[in-house]
This record gives sequence, structure tokens and C-alpha cells, in this order.
Amino acid sequence: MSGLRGAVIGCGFFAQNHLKAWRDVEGARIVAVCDLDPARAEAAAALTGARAHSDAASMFAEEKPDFVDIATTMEIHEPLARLAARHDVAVICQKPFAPDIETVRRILGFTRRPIMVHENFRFQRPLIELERHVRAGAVGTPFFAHISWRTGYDVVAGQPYLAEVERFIILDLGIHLLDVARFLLGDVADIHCRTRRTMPGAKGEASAVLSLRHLSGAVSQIVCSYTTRIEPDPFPQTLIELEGDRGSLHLRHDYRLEHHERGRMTVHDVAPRPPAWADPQWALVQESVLNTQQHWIDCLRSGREPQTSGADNLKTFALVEAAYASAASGRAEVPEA
Amino acid sequence: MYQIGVVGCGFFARNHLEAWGGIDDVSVVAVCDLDPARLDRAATRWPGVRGYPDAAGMLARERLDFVDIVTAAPSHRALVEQVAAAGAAVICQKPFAPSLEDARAMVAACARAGVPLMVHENFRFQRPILELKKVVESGRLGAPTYARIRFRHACDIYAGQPYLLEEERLAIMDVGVHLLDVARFLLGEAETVFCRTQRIDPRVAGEDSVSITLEHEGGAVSLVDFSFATIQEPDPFPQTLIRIEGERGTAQLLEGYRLEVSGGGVPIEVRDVEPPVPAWGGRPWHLIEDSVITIQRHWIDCLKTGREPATSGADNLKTLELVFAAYDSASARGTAHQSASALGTASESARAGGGA
Repeated sequence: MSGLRGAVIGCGFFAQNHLKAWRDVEGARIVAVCDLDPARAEAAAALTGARAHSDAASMFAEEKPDFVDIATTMEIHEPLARLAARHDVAVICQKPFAPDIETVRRILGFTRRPIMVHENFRFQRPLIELERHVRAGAVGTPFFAHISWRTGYDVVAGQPYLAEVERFIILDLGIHLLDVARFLLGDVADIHCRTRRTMPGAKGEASAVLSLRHLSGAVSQIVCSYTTRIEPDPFPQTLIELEGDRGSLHLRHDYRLEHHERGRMTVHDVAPRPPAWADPQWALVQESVLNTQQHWIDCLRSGREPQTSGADNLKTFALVEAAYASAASGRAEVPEA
Repeated sequence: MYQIGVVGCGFFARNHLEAWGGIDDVSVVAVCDLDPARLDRAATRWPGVRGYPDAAGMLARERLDFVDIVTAAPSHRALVEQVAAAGAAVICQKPFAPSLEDARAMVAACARAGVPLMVHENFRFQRPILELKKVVESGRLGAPTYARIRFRHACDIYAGQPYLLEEERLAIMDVGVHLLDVARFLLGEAETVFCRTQRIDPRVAGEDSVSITLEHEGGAVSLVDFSFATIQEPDPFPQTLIRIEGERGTAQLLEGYRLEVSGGGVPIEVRDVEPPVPAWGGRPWHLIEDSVITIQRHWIDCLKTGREPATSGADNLKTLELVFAAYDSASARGTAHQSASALGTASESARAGGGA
């Protein structure tokens, strides 16, 4: 088999999606998988046909991969990225890139090879289609967006560590929506944020309301919650209203994209086209994982910078920091990338 | 039988007059307008009603129980003070005043004269919003945590009200005042206000797209956003779309007067909350027309029982404080606290990039 040789580090909950998606990515294959838990590494090896490792340093030395997919929690992204840099290996790294922006800056400082953050929301088919319409001029010049992600889905059940983190929904989920806001409306001048600890038993904020001013002059609102009681629950869909001077686009529940113009409304079906292994509830996310990983490989092979490169993701991360700073100060804060 | 004088016979006054015509125990005996053509039109529709070119003359000659002031905000203070001095009760259209100073002076003048004062703040009397309020009060949702109150359209409001094009303070003063009142009605008093304004339509002088974040006592956060430049087909104008979440459930007021309540493990409840169309009205204005009837009935009930109207002058001061705090925030790029209601000199306006 030809193509790039990859290694996956971290074979936990979300990494299962990465592992399955790698089987469908063109131009690359996984040759090694690594987890501190040997049983998880063996299971991943069985899934992918790769060799199992439990030590990252020896994995790099023995396998000499072309790239590494870091799918661990954010606390160990920096040491693993440093190890990859030492072995001159390109990196795709799960989000959040790091626990804080200082760490992000350090990682970018020592990285010489391509690096991309696995920021997958903008690779969801509905959002790809929405952005494509905006870029094609469907609404004229955009001036407003409302981006909503509100659910009662129990995220803590699958990832119990989330109940303990001081920075909860903005760092876990809001970061995706901030990236989507940048994707649709461009970079951000300042951000205002109010947070609430609405989940009993969770230390951090489980709901947030953000107001952004983009450099273009556009305004966006981002609202996210893990404690919304609603039926039908839209999880894991992002619902968006985007308005320009010539029309509006509404991304509604169940992947209905409405294009509003004066005197006319057109509906497009933008449902994901999930891979065969996808679970219906997770199809949106699982397809985006495949799209993200394919984009990374296409970029590595062509020498292009990935859309969500480390340098690009620093700008998204700066919005997370500005959001938390605003939540504390009560004022709008300017992101400092 | 309450004897009523109506000051101002313009665009919106027709709704007031038609609504009074359908309410028991009241009689409009006099109307007043600077424009003789408007007086003639009113006299044709309401034979027997006496017309006056100025309020002082009307107050001198008529024995009125109350006066319904349906003029623009800058004229309100002088009129309210004259009416109160004449000993009649007062209804005053919104926006109540162009400044907090005027608003406070009017409240004080009516208090001194011992006459009731109500602001004709009619959005919270719209049937869908009254029904939504009942859901919140029933406890079905639990304590409110979040709301979005949305009023976005591209209806050509400038055709009927061309003076709006020149207003330095446009959308917050015109419709934001209603929505901020609705936010108070549904979620309680607001403690902080953060506001961003934009000018989208190149013909207008003021802000025509606004996003406001409020923090309410009790902890709920709400977004109040409105625009006169939002293209949707069909256009939901003049409906306010609202989502309120509580600890146990969510209520949504959706397009087409659909009220959906869900959460808490009970089946989703969908209700049609469209108001009736008055005999003198028509769609889509029936939402507003019906609310005018409801608020004017409320006023009569309050007069009969001695209760304070829900949108009394004193109550409306709190809504106006939010209006001015919003302008203040938009110009200061910071969060204004309700107590710090210094007037901003100009709203921050920014065209979306790329335009001419």
C-alpha cells in the first residue's frame, strides 16, 4: 500500500471515531497505535491492522511515522507534540489544542513541521454547505449570525472528567462555535461573554451567551448549553441564522438549510453523508472526523496549509481566552492571538 | 361612563379610537390635532366627537376623566403636565420620553396631581406573550435560566413613517423599548445591559440592527435582538419570536403564533395562540390591534378598581432606563449597569464591511 504512514496516540472514547475514519481516508494508513492502557491499544490495533504500543517515545523511534494523530485529552498534548517535533513528525492534534493559550504558543514555538488542530465542526457537511452558500454571495455581505448549540445530552456520562474542570462548556464546545463564527464571518474585534454554572455537580460553566463583533463590522451571537430541556433535542446539531444585506440562510433542525431572498425561499437538504460505520446519532460528527482527516492528508500531500492549522487555531483559542476574561470582567475583551 | 379626550389623530391613533369604540363604559368626547385635515377625518368617522386644534383648549372646555396621548415622544412632557394639572388621568404612548429627565418629570407631575398614569406599552399585552407568561408562571419550566427575544424583519416601516429615516436613535427607541419591556415582564428586572448596534440600510441615520445581552436578577441571561434589515420569506413581521428555558423545560413562541412547550418528561405541548382579528382590523396587524384593545381594557379595569396599571409611568421608567443603558453601552463598548444611565451621545454604528 502507498500513501503516508500515520500513528494514533490515545485510543479512548473519541479516538474510536478517528481510528474508524482513518480506514476510509485516501492517501494514508495507520501503522501504529499507542495507549497507556495495553488493552485499549490492542483493541485499536485489531480495528486498524496497525501495531500496538504503550509507550509513545519508543513508538516514534521504532515506527518513524510520517504524521501522528494525537487524540488524547489536552493536558498531554504539549509533551506529545514535543516528542513529535524531536522526531520531525507532522502532527494533527485533537481540540482543545491545550488547556491555555500560553501552552498553545509554546507548541507553535517548537513545531517546525506542519501541524493541524482536529477542529471538526467546520468540516461538518451542513456547515461546509452553509459556508459555500455564503462565499457564493447567497446573502450579499453578511452582517449578523446567531449560532446556537443547546442540549440536555449528558456529556459528563461519557467524559466524567468534564464535571471537574473549571473551564467547562466554552473550552469543550464553545471553542467549536467560536471557530465556526470565524469560519463564517471572519476574525473577531472583541467579545462579550456571560456564563452560568447551570449543571449541579459540575464545577465549571455549563451555559454561556457570547456576543462578538467581527473585524468586518458583522455581529454574531453564540449561545451554548448542556442543561437545556427540550424535545426534540437537536444534539449534536449546530443551528444557525446568518443574515446579509441581500438575504438570509437558516440552518435548522434535521439539516434543513433555508435560503431566504426577497420574495423567495429555497430549501436544501444538507444532511451528512456518513461513512458505513457511523452510528445514526453520531453521523454528523463521525462524517466530520473523516472530512477533517482527509483534509489533513490532502494538505500534507499537496503542501497547502490546513484550514485549521496550529497558527489558525491560535486565533480561535484567543477567543476562548477573551471569552473567559470577559466573563470575569463583565466588559467586552479584545482577543490577543 | 368615562369621558375621554384623545390627543393626536395620526397613524397609530386609529387603533386607539377603534379600540375605545368597542369598550363598555367609555366615550371619546373630544379629539385634538394640530392638523385640521386629520380632525376632519376623525369627525367623519366619529360623528358628535368635538375636535380641537390644541390640547389647552380641549382641557379648558371639556370635563374629561382621562386623556389618551397618541403623539411622538418629544411632545409628551408638556402634554402630560397640562393634563395632570387639569386633574385628568393620563395614558401616554411609547416611547414615553426622549430622556429619563422628561420621564421622571411626568411621573412626578402625575403623582403630585394624584392622577393615574399609564404608558401605552402594548407588546406585553399581545396574546402570544400573555400566553407565554402564563407558562412561565405555571412553574412548568422551573426557574428561568435563558431567553432569546427576537424581532427581525425587512418590512418597509419607512414608507408609513418616513421620519424614522432621520432618527439618530432608531431601532432601540422604536421597537427595542417594547422588547426590553417584554424581557422585564418575562424574566424580571435586568441588572446589566450590554449592547451592540449596527447601521445596515444606507438610507437610515440611526441603528437598524441591535444585539443586547441582559443579566436578570435571579440569574437568567437573555438576548434581545432586532433588526429592520433582515430578509426572510415569509417575513414574520410583526411577530416577536421568543425562546425561554428553565431548569426543567423550554417554551418557544414560533412563527405563525405557535407556542411549543417541552421538557420535563411530559409530552410536547403545541398551542395556537393567534389573537382574534378585530372587526375593524386585519392581518397581520391584528396582533397589534388586539393588544391595543387588551391594554385599554386593562386601563379601565385599573381605573375602576384603583389598582396600578402593569405599565404605569413608574414601571415604565425601568424599561426606559434599559433603553438608555443600551445606548450608553453601545457607545462605550462596555456593560452599562442599570443604575448608571448616563446618556450616550451617539450609538456606535458600523456598516458591515464591503458596502459602498
